[in-house]
Amino acid sequence: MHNTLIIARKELIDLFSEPFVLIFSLFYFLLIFLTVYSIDRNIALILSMNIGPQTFLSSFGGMISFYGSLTAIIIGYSSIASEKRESALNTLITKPIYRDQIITGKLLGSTVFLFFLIVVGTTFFISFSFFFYSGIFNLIFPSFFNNVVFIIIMSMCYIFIFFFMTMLVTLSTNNYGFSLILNVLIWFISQIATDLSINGNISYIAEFLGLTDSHQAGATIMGILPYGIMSNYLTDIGDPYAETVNALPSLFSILPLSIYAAILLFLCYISFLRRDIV
Amino acid sequence: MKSNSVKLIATNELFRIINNPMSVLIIVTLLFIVCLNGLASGYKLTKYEKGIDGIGDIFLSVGIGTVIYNTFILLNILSLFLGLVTFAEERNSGALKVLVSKPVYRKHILQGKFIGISVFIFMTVSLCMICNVFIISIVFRGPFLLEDMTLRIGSYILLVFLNCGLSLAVAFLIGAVTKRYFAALLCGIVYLSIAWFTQIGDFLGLLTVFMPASLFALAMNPGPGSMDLLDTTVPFDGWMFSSAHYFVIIAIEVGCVLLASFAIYSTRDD
Repeated sequence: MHNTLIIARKELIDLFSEPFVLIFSLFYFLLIFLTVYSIDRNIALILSMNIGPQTFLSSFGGMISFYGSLTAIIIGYSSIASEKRESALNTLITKPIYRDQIITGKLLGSTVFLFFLIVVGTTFFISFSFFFYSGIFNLIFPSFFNNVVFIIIMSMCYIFIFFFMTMLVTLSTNNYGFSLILNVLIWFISQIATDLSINGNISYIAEFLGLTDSHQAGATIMGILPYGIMSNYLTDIGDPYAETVNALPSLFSILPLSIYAAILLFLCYISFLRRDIV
Repeated sequence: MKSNSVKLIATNELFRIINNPMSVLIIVTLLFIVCLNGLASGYKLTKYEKGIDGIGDIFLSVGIGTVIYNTFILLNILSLFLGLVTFAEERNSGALKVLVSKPVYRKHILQGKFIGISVFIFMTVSLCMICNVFIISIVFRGPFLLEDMTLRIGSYILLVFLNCGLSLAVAFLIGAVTKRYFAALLCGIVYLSIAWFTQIGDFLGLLTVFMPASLFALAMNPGPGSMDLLDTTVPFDGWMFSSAHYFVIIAIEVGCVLLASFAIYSTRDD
């Protein structure tokens, strides 16, 4: 346990001192600023329809989960690739430390860094919201605050999917550039898989084959894919006609995301424990 | 001598890219998307055609139109990362030093690489569109006017080719500025985020028109009202007259970014 915590601490220090991770984190905060700024377009809608915090909550959820997942890819890649490249990982595994302690320490350190980014991002979001929309945000803040924790939990499950996927791909490939590009590609394809070009066409083929109705097929696919689950969750939160806002995720939302993250985490462990580090 | 070296480098680059695993991966993904679209079109377009009147030939607007945006972004991703892999990675690993030590101008090296990758991108775009059209023609029907469809698809291929050329030029610029491969990849991801994945371009005011996403949207639908390239109720020459200047803007952007990368790389010690 002591070795795990030492490695986790080292990982955290490395991430804070890696300039490119910090630069991308700054870019993430810039996106937060622009997300809050763009809520302005919906203010007229809020005022005219007397809506609660739905817009702020769904914008917050979208910002944390989608931009956060891209940031998680960078962090996951940096965590493994930089040490593989400099052969530091080879040195580490020659020490009298169990391999699972190494991977647990790295995961722990990276998780703390990710969580730190999300907390800071949330603080920035709330601060910018007070700055730009003080009158409206003051009124809806209690409802926003009551629901923000659920959104963070749901977003963390979504982000961890891509974080563990990135670590798994980077551990499995020897070409560092290819692994980062592959991760970004998987991230992008996971999003377009829910739209008309893939989901829509599969639904039509399912209807043509007599398996099910195309709408039902589309809904099923959306309920299986991580991006679809997250989109459905944020769409439900952002419903402008809902009388109250309840961001507590249902079991059908959080359970699949958690299972995906757990499977990828398990595969990360297997990959690190059984592969030779090159 | 100049044209010979550029041609040799371009040919070599083309054959190297074809064997690159990332190229294979993205092309397989693209072909999967267009084939899936083609196969679904038989049933989907038949349903559309029965229910809707007066929207022109749905072969293009719905059949082809369903996949153009996602395939377009995938091709941009491919162009950007191919540029980073062939230039930034080779600079980082020192492989480019072998070429630089030859009696070849540095700008000719970049020109050859750019042409080689551009030819590959053009072949990929054309292959995807031809597959899409071919499969839809088999499972559904052919377009009402073959000549009109050829002109519109050809214009779309040219638009995609120019936009991918811009992504490629940006990749070369990033590779010229920084030798560190990880830094170059990060810059590429930031560029993709700004250009395609986020709405940062919306906050640039008048400069938004120079963003790749805006240029693509404006060239496809120059407005006002619906003047979409794939809408056959709009005469092709009417669309072309309204959107030609956007093609010119993209071409100028590609030229400027490439010239900047030539200038910067010429001053670098490798």
